[in-house]
Amino acid sequence: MVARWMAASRRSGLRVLRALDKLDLTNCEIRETQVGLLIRPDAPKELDLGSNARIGADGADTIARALTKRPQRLSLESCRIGDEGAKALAVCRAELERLELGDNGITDAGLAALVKGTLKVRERSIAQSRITATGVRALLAAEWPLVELDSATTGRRRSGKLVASRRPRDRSLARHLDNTHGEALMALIGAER
Amino acid sequence: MALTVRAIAEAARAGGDGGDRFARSAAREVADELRATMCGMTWDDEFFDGAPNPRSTIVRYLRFDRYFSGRYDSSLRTRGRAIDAGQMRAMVASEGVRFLTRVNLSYQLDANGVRELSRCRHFAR
Repeated sequence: MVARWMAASRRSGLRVLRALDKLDLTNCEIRETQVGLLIRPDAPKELDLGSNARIGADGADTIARALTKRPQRLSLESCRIGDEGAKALAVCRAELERLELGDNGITDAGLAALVKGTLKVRERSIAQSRITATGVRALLAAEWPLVELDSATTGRRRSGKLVASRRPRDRSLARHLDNTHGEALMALIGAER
Repeated sequence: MALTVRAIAEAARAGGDGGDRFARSAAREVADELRATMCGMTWDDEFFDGAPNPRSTIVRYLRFDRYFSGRYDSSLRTRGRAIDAGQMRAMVASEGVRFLTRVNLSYQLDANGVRELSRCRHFAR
């Protein structure tokens, strides 16, 4: 499919964005039907589509179908993709260096799909997500190389900040946990003990 | 590194074919991360007009800024220009964009502008 796309794009003169190291299109009113213009084999190495709230779950599905080796680093923060979008991305067979999915309303269900899915990512950010202790336990079991969880919250905000000395030692699970609250935080601390 | 960004800028200011040749040659020696982000509002206006200054071949990162503090007469300035699909069409039609490796148009473009940008033929190496 990719070879067909490349052949078609060569004929139409549309091999275009490959030379860009980074393209930042944060908050540019990009819709779910338009992400296909940007997610393609000749995409920039790094593509920031954050705060394009019209992308949504349908846009995430389009992205999942189009992802190959480019972009290598993709930000979809605050794009309202939700659990449905996370599930669509999870079954994608691409490999990314970094994927940012923070502030998308992702819950334990979406996280579980990402943990079990085929999408390979070296660094993930799921900051500002609605993850509970269940989700954190799933993360711990997954042993992903790096996950950023800033401000991941539960309904019960009963804990303060996690100090550096209590970060998980060997798993390298969470580098940025300063504002992780409630049960999720307690699960991490429990895992550390 | 013997050549500095300042030396290149001075060579470019000196003008003439010799200055241009020296600036182009010197620019090849400069790591991308040391290159100018924006040389001035007029420089990137010319990008958006589709007629970039030939000397902007040293620029790698094009970023549209709307607010400037201290850059011009130590005062705060806001830029009135808006960029749209028409200007993206003009910009990407120019071969002068082929030296860019980073483009940041966050909070500035609408979906039509993004579509025009995605049609650029000159970002292919």
